Amino acid sequence: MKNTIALLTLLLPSLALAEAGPREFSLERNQLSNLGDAWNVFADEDGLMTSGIGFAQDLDKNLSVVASYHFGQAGSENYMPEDPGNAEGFVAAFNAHQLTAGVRGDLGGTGFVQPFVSAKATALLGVVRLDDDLDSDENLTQSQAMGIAPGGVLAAGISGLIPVGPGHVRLDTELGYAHSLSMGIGEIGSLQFSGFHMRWGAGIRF
Amino acid sequence: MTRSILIGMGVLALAACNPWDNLPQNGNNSWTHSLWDANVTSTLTHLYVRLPGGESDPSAHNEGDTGWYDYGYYSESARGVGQLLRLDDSGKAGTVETVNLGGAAATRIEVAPDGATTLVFSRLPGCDTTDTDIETLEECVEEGDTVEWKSEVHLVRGSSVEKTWDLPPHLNAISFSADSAHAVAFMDASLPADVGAGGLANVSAVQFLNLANPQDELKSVNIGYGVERVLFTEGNTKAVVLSESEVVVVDMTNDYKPIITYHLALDVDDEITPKDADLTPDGNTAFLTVEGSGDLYALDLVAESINIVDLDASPADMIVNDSADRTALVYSSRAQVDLVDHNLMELETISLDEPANEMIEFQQSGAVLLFNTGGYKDVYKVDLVTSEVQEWRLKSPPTRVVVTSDETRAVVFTQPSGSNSNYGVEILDLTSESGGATNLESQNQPLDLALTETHALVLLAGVSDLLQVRLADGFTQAVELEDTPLGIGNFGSSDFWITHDAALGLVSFYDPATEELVSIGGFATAGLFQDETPLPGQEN
Repeated sequence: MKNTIALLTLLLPSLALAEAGPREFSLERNQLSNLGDAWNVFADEDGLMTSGIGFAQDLDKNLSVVASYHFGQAGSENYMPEDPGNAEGFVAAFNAHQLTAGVRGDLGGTGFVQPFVSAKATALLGVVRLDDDLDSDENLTQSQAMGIAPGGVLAAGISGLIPVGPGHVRLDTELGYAHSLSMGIGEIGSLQFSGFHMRWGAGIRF
Repeated sequence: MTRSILIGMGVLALAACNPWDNLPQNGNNSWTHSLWDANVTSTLTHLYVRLPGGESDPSAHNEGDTGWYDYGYYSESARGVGQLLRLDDSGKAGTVETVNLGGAAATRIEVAPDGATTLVFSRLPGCDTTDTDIETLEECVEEGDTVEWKSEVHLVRGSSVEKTWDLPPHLNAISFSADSAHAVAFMDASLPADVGAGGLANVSAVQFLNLANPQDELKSVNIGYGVERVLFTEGNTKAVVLSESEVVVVDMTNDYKPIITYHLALDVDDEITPKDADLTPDGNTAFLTVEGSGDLYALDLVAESINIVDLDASPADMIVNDSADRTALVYSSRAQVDLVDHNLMELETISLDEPANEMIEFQQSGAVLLFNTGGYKDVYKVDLVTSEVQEWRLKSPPTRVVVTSDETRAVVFTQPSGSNSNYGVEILDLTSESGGATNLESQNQPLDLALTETHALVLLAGVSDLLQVRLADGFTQAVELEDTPLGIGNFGSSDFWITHDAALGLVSFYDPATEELVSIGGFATAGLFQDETPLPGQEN
C-alpha cells in the first residue's frame, strides 16, 4: 500500500506542468507484454491488460509531455498432481502498477486526424501473491513479494480530435515496443516485461 | 483541493480491501509435478527439502531437445533444474536457507550415521555444443543442441557444500562407516540404475569417498557384479564388500587394494546372494546369511578362511550384537531364536511359542526384540548375554514395531484381527519384568509414527490432526496443526518434524514437552520464476 501511495504521489509533479497551452486528461488501456515461461503461472496470455489515467501537456505546437499511471491484474489457478497429498494447487496473482513519463511528437496531419510518435520511460511495480488456501486469510503458505523494473517504450500512433464546446474529445491509439529490465522478485526469481506494446485512450483536450 | 480529496478517497478504498480475498483467477495452469518433495531428509539439526525443477522425468534428458519440451518444461513455468533448501526451527518463525549446489539439481540425499554428514546426489546440466555463446539451458534447447547431464555427489554439512565429486550415474546406493568418516557408492542391481547412453558403465566398480578428508579424490575399486552391502571394520582399516557369490576385503590403509576374495560358491554356476551381514566387534569375523540357505557363513578375516555353521532353516533376520558378542538369528518357519557365540562359534537354540521374522537390536543392553509381522501376536525380548526371554502377547498381530532410543519402550502398530475390527497402538514397557503394556485403539489406520524417549506422534489415516501419546501412561491428545499432515519424523533428540499437504510448502517442528509448534510455509516458491537456467558446468 505504501508503494501505491508513493506511485500516486509521483504523478503530482506531472500535474504541476500544467501551465499555458492545451492539456489532456484521458482514460487508457495498455498491453503489458511478458513472453517469459514463468509468466504462465499467472496467465494463459503473454502479458496482461492494464487500465489507467493519462495526462499530456503541450510544450509547443508539435511537442507534448505525457505521463500516465496504469493498474492491472492477472491471476491463474495452478493445479498440482495429488501426490503425495490432496493439495490441489495454488493461485498466483500479479498486480501491476506502471508509471510512464515521456514526450509525444505530432507529425502534422489534418487537424482532426493526427499521427504521432512517442518515447516514454516506464517504471513498473509488480506485486506477486501466491496462495494455496483461499479459505484462509492468514495461512502460512501465503506469500507476497514485490519488484520494480524500469524500462522504456517507443511507439507510433494516431489520434482523432472531435471538437466539443471549448475543447476537444481526443481518441488515440499507439503501437510499439516496450522493453524493461528484469523485475527481481526476491527469492522467487524474476519476471521480464518486454515485447509488443499497444495502448489506446479516450479523453479530453482543452 | 478536489483532486487531493479524490486521490485520498482512492487510497482509502484500496486500503479497505483485503488483497487476499479476491485474487484474480482467469487462467489455468497444470503442473506435472509438485513444487516440493514432501519426502524430506532429516538430520539432527535441520531438514533438507528438494524443490524439483521445471522438468519432471529424468529419462527425458536423454531424448534430446524435443524431450525437453515434451515433458512440459516450457508449458508450466520454469525453475531451472531445481533447488535444495535447508530448514530448521531456529528463530521465531524458523529458518530457510538455500544450499548452493552450483547449478545442479539434487536427486537423492543420504545422511551418515552421525546425523550431520550428508551426501547429496545431483545432476548438473550442460550443453553438447561448440557454440561458446550458449550460456543457458534454454539457449541450448532453442539451438537444437542436446542437453547433457553430469552426475555429482556433494558433501554437505549444514548449508555448506564442502566438496563436490563427479560420480558415475549408475551408482545408486551408498554405505557409510559407523563413524561417518568414509562412504562407498556402488550399484545395487536390485534398484533402478542409470547406466547412461553412448558409453559403457563399469557396474563392477565401487567408489570410496573419504568424508573425513574430502580433498582426497574418489577411489574406484573393481569388486564384481551385484554389490549389495559394504561393511567397515572398527577404525576403518578394512572394508568388506559383499557382492553376488563373493566377498571382497579391501585394505583401506593401502590405497584401497583388495586383499582377500572369498568365493561363497564352489561352482561358478551357483549364484549365492548375501542376505544379512555384519562384522563382529573385533572386526575379525564377518557373518553373513544367504537367500534360501540354512548356512551361516563366518568369514575369518584374519586367517582368511570360511566357517559354515549349519542352521535349521534359512534365517529371516540376523543381528550381530557387540555388547554380548553374540549373533541372533530368527526364522519365519521355526519358533526359535539361535544365538551364536563369536569366540567359540557355538550355537545355542532358544525355543519360542511362535516364530519371529524380524528383530530390533538393543545396542546398549545387549538384547534383541523379536516379533512377527506375518500374523503372530508374540513379542519377545531376548537378553543375548543371559539368554533370558521375556514375552508380551499383543491384542492383534503387529504391522510395525519401533523402540525408543533409550530402549525402555516399544510402540507397536497392530492390525484388525478376529473379532477386533480396530487398529491398535500398543506401548510395551520394556523395563517391566511383568511385561506391562498400554493399549490404544482406533478405527483409523495408523500410517506413520515418530518417537522420542517420552512421547510418540501418531499419524492416522483420515485424521487432520496428529495424535501425541505420552508413553508413560498412554495419555493422548491432538496436536492442532496448520494443515493436514503428510509425514512425521524425529528431529533432534526430543522434537518432531511434520510435513503438510500444502502446494506451496509447509513444514512444522514440534516440541512435545513445551507443545511449541514452529511452522515454515511458502518455501516451495523459491526460484519459481527462473526464466534462464545458467550452465555453470558448460565447457565449450
